[in-house]
Amino acid sequence: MIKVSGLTKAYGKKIAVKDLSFTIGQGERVGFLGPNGAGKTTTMNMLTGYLASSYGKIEIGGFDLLENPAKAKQCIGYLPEIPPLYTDMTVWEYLCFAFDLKKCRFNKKAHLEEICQVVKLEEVRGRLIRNLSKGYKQRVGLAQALIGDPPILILDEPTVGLDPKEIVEIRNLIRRLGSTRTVILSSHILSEVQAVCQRVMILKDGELILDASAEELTVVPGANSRYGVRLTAPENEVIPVLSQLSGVARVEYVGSYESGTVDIILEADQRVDIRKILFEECAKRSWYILMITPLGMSLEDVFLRLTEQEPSSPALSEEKEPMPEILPENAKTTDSSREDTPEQMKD
Amino acid sequence: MSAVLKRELSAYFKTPVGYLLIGSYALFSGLIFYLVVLRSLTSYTGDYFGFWLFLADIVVVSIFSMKFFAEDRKNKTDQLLLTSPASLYGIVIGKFLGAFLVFAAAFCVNFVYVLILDAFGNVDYGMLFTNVLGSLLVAAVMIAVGLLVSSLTESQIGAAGITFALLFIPMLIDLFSGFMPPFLRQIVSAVTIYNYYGDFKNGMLSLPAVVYYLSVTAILLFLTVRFTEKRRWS
Repeated sequence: MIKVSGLTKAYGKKIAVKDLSFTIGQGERVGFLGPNGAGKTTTMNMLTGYLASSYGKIEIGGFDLLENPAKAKQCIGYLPEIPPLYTDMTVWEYLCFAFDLKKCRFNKKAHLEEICQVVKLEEVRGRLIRNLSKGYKQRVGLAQALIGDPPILILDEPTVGLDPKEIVEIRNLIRRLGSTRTVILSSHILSEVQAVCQRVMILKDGELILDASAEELTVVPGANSRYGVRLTAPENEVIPVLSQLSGVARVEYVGSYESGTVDIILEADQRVDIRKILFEECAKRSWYILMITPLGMSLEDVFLRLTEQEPSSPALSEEKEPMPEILPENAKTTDSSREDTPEQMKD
Repeated sequence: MSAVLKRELSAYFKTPVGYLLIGSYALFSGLIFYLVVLRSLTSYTGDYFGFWLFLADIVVVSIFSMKFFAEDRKNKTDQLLLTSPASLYGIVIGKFLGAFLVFAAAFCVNFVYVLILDAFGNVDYGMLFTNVLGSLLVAAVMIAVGLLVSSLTESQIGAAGITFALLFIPMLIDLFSGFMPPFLRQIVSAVTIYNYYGDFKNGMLSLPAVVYYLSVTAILLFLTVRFTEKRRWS
């Protein structure tokens, strides 16, 4: 469905995207991950024809983007990071405009009504876009991308700036839409990509450093084997005791957020369910486990694992798994706590 | 093209912009009509059209230039336009026609002045026709200049300022070309768009002038497409 070879974008001497090659098949849901300046948005802009590449070739639905741009663009529905909305129009007027612009041949009224139903815009059809909430504006942008029933959806950070409820709704919507389409989604939130996509591409400094399935990503050593634990135990004993357990790779002391308790991060070897071992050891010593929260991998962790290097930029350092966020605010889940973190690694 | 044209027209009239443009034009042209025609107690329209009315055109077109591409880039709506299957020529022509039709709507206020003159004097309708045609052709060139400038700049205010300067300075040079040496005068008369208006002003339908204005407009629209395309590559 999408074939990219040797894609490069240079802004003067600065290379934003370097020699990118990949193929995305029909019905695949692919996530582009990367920190600020990784080249996610530039790549998406080139795929949609908004930017021209310096070198390389893009084929969309069998059409060369350079030689047959109209046909290639007809295959794509694009939702940029900032939805391209004419805020002086009502939702319906805007969708009619997008329909005409895309030269669709469907029955206009029926097609737009169906899209409004899918993205749940029926109630705000007659309202001016400028008066809508951020979540609804995002839905209008998504509705625009769906016009013409394109087989490919390209979504650039579709949940940025939304509140948690809207994030969940938009993710579910994307998952639903992705069941019949090829979807490319960019994000700096690993959990988001894992929740929606089957395949993940990680970009760094304009280069593709990983192209793997979402499952493969989780078996990067250390992934899905980290836990935040709060237990009642003598502070000076916890680290030495737990470090000795078989299957424990690392124990990190975080702090004490309730009197008489200790918060730690426990990292286990892959394929070892450390929870049972931990429970047995604590039971033996009469320590109480008050909380145990599985921690996913932060993007920074994945990067570090993949590139085997120390964080070099402040942005990466700031993104480091924030332990206090999962421990003092124990109402949050790991996923939502990560979603709520500042957008430090926005592209 | 038709989708962009419809969008442009609705944008002008669903916001105060279109009414502001028409109001500004009516204000300026009314003042000029009063000073040049009514105070002179004449029904001769040759002095009203041309130089004085071009001043009102320049103000209106400068405001237009703020809206074209500069506004789309500011609001990121250019991403919708440029990633759609619509051709860039269609988009540029749609924007041009939208502005031209709004200008034509504003221009209609001149017919009110004609009715006033007709009630109290004899209007030369032949001369009126050539002046109306000439004015609309000059306006087409002006709008194309505004569109080109808008495609080159990021700032809306910058687009308006540059458009104003590009249209007003040649007018001043043309005005003072009488004081210039003959060779310089020839150069100025060759490059200023206002110089070709003379025949229309005197009631003559000049085919070379019509071809000139249409050609310049087409070239400017072509350049707008090329510069917009160039941005994708830079």
